[in-house]
Amino acid sequence: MSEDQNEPVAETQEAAPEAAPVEKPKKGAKAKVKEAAPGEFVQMRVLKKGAGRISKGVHEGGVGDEFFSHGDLFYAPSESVDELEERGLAEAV
Amino acid sequence: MTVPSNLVSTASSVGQREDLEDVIYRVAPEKTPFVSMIGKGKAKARTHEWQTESLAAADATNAAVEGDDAPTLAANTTTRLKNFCQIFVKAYGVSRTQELVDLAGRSSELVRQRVIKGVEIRRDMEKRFIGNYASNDESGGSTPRRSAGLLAWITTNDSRGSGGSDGGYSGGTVSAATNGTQRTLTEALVKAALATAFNTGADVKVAFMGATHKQQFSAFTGIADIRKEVTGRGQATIIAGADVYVGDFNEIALVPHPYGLTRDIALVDPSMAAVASLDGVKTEALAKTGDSNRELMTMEATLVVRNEAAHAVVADLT
Repeated sequence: MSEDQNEPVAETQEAAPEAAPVEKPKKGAKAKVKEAAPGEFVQMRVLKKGAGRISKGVHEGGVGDEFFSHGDLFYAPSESVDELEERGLAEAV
Repeated sequence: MTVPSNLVSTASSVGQREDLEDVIYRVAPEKTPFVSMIGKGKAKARTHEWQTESLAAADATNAAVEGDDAPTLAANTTTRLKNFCQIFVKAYGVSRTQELVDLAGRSSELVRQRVIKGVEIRRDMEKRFIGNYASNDESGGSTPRRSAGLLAWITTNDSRGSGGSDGGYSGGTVSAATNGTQRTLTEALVKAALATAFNTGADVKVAFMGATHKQQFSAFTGIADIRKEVTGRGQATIIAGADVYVGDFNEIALVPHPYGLTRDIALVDPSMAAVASLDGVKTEALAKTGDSNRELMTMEATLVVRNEAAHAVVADLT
C-alpha cells in the first residue's frame, strides 16, 4: 500500500452513511466526538499520513480497496475515531 | 380421597438418598478450528522470526539487443518478520477437603479443574491467533508480550468498510486494523476479495466466519436452487447450509467460528500460517501456602503468518 505524502489536498467529501447524524459538523466539535455513542458516525479529515491508508469501503476485484486522499472528508464509526487520531491517519472535524 | 393418618410418605420422611447424576454436562464451543488447521512449528526464543520474498512484476517488455552487455543488476531481497511468543496462563486451586469428599460427576476436583482450564487456554490461544490483535514486546515488567493475530497481519488482500484502515507489520511490531463502517455481507464482496487474492498469488482454501455470516454465506445465489429429490414416502430435506464454496479459483471450505470472529471473514491458506510453540501446555504444582493444592497451567506460543499475502479478509460486516 502506498503512502503518498505529496498528494494534493482533495476536496472530495464522502456521503454520510445512512445512520450518520444529519447536523452539519462544526469546528471544535472534538469534545462532542468523544461522547458520540457507539454506532454513530463522526466526520473526519484525512491527514498526510492517512493518505492511501483509509479505505473508501469500495473494493475493486483483483486490484484492492480504494483509499481516501489527503484532505478528503469521510464518516468514521465513533468507536474508531480515537484510533484513527492516535495513529495520525485522520482528525475529527 | 384422603390420605390415611400417620402414613409415612416421602414428603414427611427423612433419610432418602439424593438422586444426583454422576455426570457434569457442558455446552460450550470448545473447538479451535484455526489452530487445528494451520501448521505447527517450534520457537526457540521469545521472539520468533521468519522471512518472506516476492517476485518483481511480470515484465512483457523484457528484451535485449543481441550481443549487448548485461543489464544493471536487480537485487531481490528478503523481508524479515517477527512475532512475539505470548504466555497463556491459567491458575487454579482446590482445598484439601474438597479432594476428600465424595463428589458427583468427577472423582477429583483438581483433575476436573485441570481439564477445564486446558480447554480454556486453547480457546484463548485460538481467539488471539485468528483475531485482529496487535503485537508488542514485553516492557517494564508490567506489560506482557503479545502475539499478533491473523487479521492484524493482513494488508494486501483486504476489503474494509469505509473509514477502516490496515494494521500490518512495521518496525518490528504488528498494528491492529482499525474498524470501518460495517456493511452487509454479499457474494460480490467475497468474490472481489478472492479475485484480489488470486492476483496476488494466494491460494485460499478455508473461509472462517461467525455464525451469522455462515448463514448469509449459505444464502448466496450459487447454492440457493439446490433441491434434494424425495423418494418414496421419505420426508423432504431442506438444504440451507453450505460447507464448500466453489469459487472461480478454488474450492473453499466454509468453517463457522463460534467465538473468534464477529465482523470479519478470514480467507485463509492454512499452509501459510503456523503456531510456533516455545513451550507446550504444561501444568506445574505451585508451592503450598496453606491447606490446598494449587496448579499453574502455561502455554507459550506465537502465530507465524508465513506470508500475509497468502490470506485475505472481508472486514467490517454487519
